[in-house]
Amino acid sequence: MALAAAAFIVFLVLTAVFAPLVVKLVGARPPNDPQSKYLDSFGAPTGPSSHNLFGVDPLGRDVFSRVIYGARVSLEVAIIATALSVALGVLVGLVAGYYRGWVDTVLSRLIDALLAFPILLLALGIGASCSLGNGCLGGLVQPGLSVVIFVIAFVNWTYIARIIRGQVLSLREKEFVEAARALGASNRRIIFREILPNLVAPIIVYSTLIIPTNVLFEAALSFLGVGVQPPNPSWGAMIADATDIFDTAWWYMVFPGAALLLTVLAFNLLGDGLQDALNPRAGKS
Amino acid sequence: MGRYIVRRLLWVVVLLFLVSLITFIVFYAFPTADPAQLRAGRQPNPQLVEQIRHSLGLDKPWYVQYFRYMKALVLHFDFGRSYHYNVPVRKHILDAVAPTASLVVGAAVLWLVSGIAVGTISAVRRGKLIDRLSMGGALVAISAPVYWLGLVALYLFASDIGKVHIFPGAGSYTPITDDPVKWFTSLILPWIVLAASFAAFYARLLRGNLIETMSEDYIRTARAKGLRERRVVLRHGVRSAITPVVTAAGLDIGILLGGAILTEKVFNIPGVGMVAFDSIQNADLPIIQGTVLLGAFFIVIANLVVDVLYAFLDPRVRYA
Repeated sequence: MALAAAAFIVFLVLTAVFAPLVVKLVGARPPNDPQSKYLDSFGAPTGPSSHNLFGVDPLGRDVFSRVIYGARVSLEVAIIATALSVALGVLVGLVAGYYRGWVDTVLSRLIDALLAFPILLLALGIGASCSLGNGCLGGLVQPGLSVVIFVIAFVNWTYIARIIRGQVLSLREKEFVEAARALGASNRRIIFREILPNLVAPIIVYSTLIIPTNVLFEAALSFLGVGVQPPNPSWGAMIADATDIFDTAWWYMVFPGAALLLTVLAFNLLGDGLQDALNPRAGKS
Repeated sequence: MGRYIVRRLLWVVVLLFLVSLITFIVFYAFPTADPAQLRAGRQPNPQLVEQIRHSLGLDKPWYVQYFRYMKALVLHFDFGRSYHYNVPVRKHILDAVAPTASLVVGAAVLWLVSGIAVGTISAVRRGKLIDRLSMGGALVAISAPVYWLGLVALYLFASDIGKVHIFPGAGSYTPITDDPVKWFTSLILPWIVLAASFAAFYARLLRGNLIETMSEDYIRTARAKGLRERRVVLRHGVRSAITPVVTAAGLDIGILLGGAILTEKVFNIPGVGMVAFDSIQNADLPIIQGTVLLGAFFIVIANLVVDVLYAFLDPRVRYA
């Protein structure tokens, strides 16, 4: 199953990268091409047909090509946000776990406080404010994709930091660290050359487990109207758009949702498989 | 134990204080809009805006504003007034707690019962068809976005727009004090939709733990004593494998009580999540601050309850 999931993910990534080509091969229109001739005489969108595989949306845009292009947004956000939060989390976890003392106390308390936050609320708030005008943090975070990435990374690094800190606390007492120190290695060298390589397996497992969560997170933010700005297609935003008309235009809700479900499912299967492979205790199921 | 709880409660106070400070700074540093401008109406003249800014205290530096806010909160349990609706924040938010609590508690009962049942059966029948089917289903349930599941459920079963008219649709929430029967029926769909992914997660968690537990020596001892298999599984196996489920349940319920934004939005339930969502749209800082504090309060209390429960569930755990 994990292999099938991995194959599906490769397929998905290729689809996302070559989205224009895929759309052209299928003979669909580009994602931002509203055509009123595909709306019926009441101005309502029409369903799946040979012209529009997945039907059209209320503006007469092709849902199929919007779903395909939506994969780009979903994967881009999930992968970059995961990479950022893992990088920050690992760094903080390493520093807190290795140096202990007041550094650890300050960082751990900060993490405690952030973990006590209702994160969706915090994300919504930051997302909403960064999506206006020139963005936030002095224009560093611009409205659009980077807001979503920033928000997701910001609320997610704490979990990783906690796990890594725990691991470092026990690793730093091992003989090989002592040996390195006896050889005169600097702290920086011990952290990055001795301890970090021992953390690669858990980091990989947690990263694959966070990716599906982040895909869902991006979709949820877009569903709530914070995030990828129109007319860029995002699965979450499409479902939000469909909320008003799903009783008649079911295709507009079903296809983006199904794409989302399959993507998250594939990453979850892959994560399960990796966890079993890298952690012998959890296996045998 | 008593000392431990007191120390934890003090930490709760410090944590809530930190949360309020962070919220204040975040929303002060990244304002969604100028509240004075919003309050001034459609055609604000600059004078009016200035006047409102002054009367709301928005012309003061942030730490003065924060100090004033905390002073009213600590001394009078006063959360201020909404910029947008001009009503007391405390009442506005507390009115929304009952719908959210109805949604979350009902869903929690549902997901705990079904998650534990499915997880136990799957572990006992490991590798059999029923295990494969339920674990496959669980993985799908975990991967489905809750709002999409909600829309699909409404499309299929809502009494107004559904294919099969069974359950009341979105926006049918009725307070339990008005009509308990309507309250119950209006929440059936939201309960199922919200519970689905949690039930699946708990079933997976319990199954994994139970399988590991069932290979422990004391389970063999229990079997060797001639206990019935049923008793071995439930009393000796599940009893010890269930601790992580209790932890997860406590934390999940705590998080959701602060507002189940997505589910509330799809089913149009007037709960804390909707209030919070609405306040962010309106740049209504006093309400945002209030909902964040309420949410954080539920989360830290849930953490505390979980830790204390642990000591009762697992006799080896002792706090000093």
